[in-house]
Order: sequence, then structure tokens, then C-alpha cells
Amino acid sequence: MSRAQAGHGTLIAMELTVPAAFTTFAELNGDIEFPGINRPETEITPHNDGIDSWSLGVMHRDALKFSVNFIFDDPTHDYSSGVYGKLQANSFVGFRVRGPGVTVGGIGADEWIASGQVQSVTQKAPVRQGVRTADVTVRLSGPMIIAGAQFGGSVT
Amino acid sequence: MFHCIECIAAQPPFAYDIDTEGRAMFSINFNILSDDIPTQYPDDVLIYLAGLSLAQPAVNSFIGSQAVIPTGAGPFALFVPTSGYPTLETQDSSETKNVYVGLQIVVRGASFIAASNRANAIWSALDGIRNRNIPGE
Repeated sequence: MSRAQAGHGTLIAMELTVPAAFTTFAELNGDIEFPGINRPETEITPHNDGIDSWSLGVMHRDALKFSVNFIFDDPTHDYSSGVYGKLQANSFVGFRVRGPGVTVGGIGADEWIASGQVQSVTQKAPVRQGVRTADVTVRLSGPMIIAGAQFGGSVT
Repeated sequence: MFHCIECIAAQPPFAYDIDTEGRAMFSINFNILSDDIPTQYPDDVLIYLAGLSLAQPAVNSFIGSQAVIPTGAGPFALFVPTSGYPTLETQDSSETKNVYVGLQIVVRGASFIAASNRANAIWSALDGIRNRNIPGE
């Protein structure tokens, strides 16, 4: 029997101040895309070989992107402690992406925690139909904690 | 009362039929987005229009498919809930979902012009309402 799980209930939270408890972003709408993680490749095939060889480099992450129903005075959206405030201050704060798997595995079992900076916020106000929304991009930096364990630490 | 995020008419009123008494029938179809579940929204919309002197409940305006429309010249309006769009959900299900409901208002009258005028007045009053409580603040 499949153990597939619906994606609804995935939440993103941010430290409004540092250090502080995580505050879940209000009204996360749309699909949430966890940052893609990849290693860049360099081909190292020597002339001596008859087949290719590759070396994979350090892990790189795509930006964390999400959207919200924009609430102008919500502390996670606003120009003070919210994403606009963080963008202006260019501050490093903690971000947490928690999947619905926490209902099965418990808190921490299905979450990513990392430091990052708000890189862009694009707000939209439809003229005819629809609600105000904002698209947010966060650039994560440094090691993460995934499912309670460090992911991507220092090179020893 | 419900909080209306937006009330958008699908199109201007259009004449689509005549009833058994030969009265011209106009249909206006709205999609209403609310941040709660507006269980009595046809009533609320009717009360709102009554406040604008565009409807008289149980006199020239009625609610639901079981309403008995009086005989006579009218124009009479019937408010019928219809299907809307899928709910706009947020990831946090503990937050209120934004619910799309539909409302069809059918205006019928012995005079094509009178029915058209009333349908257009209702359309103008409701189309584009945003970010307010219905029927009142």
C-alpha cells in the first residue's frame, strides 16, 4: 500500500527577530517548492579512458520560493518584521520548512531549518478578480538541519 | 452577514427566456469570494439590495428554487445559490479558507424594458463590491 501523503499542510516559518521562536507565515497559498539541491559537475575524462568520468562539486541550493495571500499588516509580511523588513535590512534569519510528515514522524522529522536572507518580494494586486498576493524568494546560506541532522557541514 | 472579498459578475445581464406567463427573463450570474463560509449569502445580498431600494423581500424579490413567484407584471427577482469555483486554500488548514460561491439572480417582467432596467440596476449595484461586509458594516 502506498504511503504517499498529500502535500497540503506544508508550512514555512521565519524568525521575526534573532534569536526567536519561528513564526509561521500567514496565508501561504499555492504549491510550495522545497529548494532543489544539486552538485555542479565537472568532466574529468582523461584521454586515456574510453568512457566519461565526472567530479561533482559542493552542494548548491536553489532559492526557496513561496507565495502568500498578502496581508499588509501581518508581522510575517509587513515592512517591519516581515519579509519586506527583512529584505530592507538584508538580515540573516532562520527559516523552517515543515512538511506534513510531522504528523507521522513528529516535530523535526519532516522539516528543514536553515539561515537565509529574503532576496525578493513581488506583490500583486489584481484589478478585476482575485486577492492580493506576494511572491517571496529566500536565498539560504550555510549548513541546514534536515530531519534533525546537520546537512552540508564543514569540509573536514 | 458575511465578509465579501469580492463580488464579480460573470457577464452583464442577458435575456435568456420567457416564463410561462410570457414575462421576459434576465439572468445575472455572480461569483462571490468570502473569507468564511457564507451560509445565508442570498439573504444577505437581498438585504443589501433592499438597503439600496433595489429589492423588497417577499414582495418583488425572493430566494431559492422553491420560491413562488407572484403572477403579474413585476419585475420580480429570484435569488438562487449556484455552484462557485473551488475553494482557495492556504497551506495552514486552521486558517479560514477563501470560499467561492455562486449566485444567480433572475429578473422577470411583463415589460422587457422594465425587467432589463431592474436587472441592470442590480448588476451595477453588486458587480465589483470588494472588501466589505454584506449586508452591512
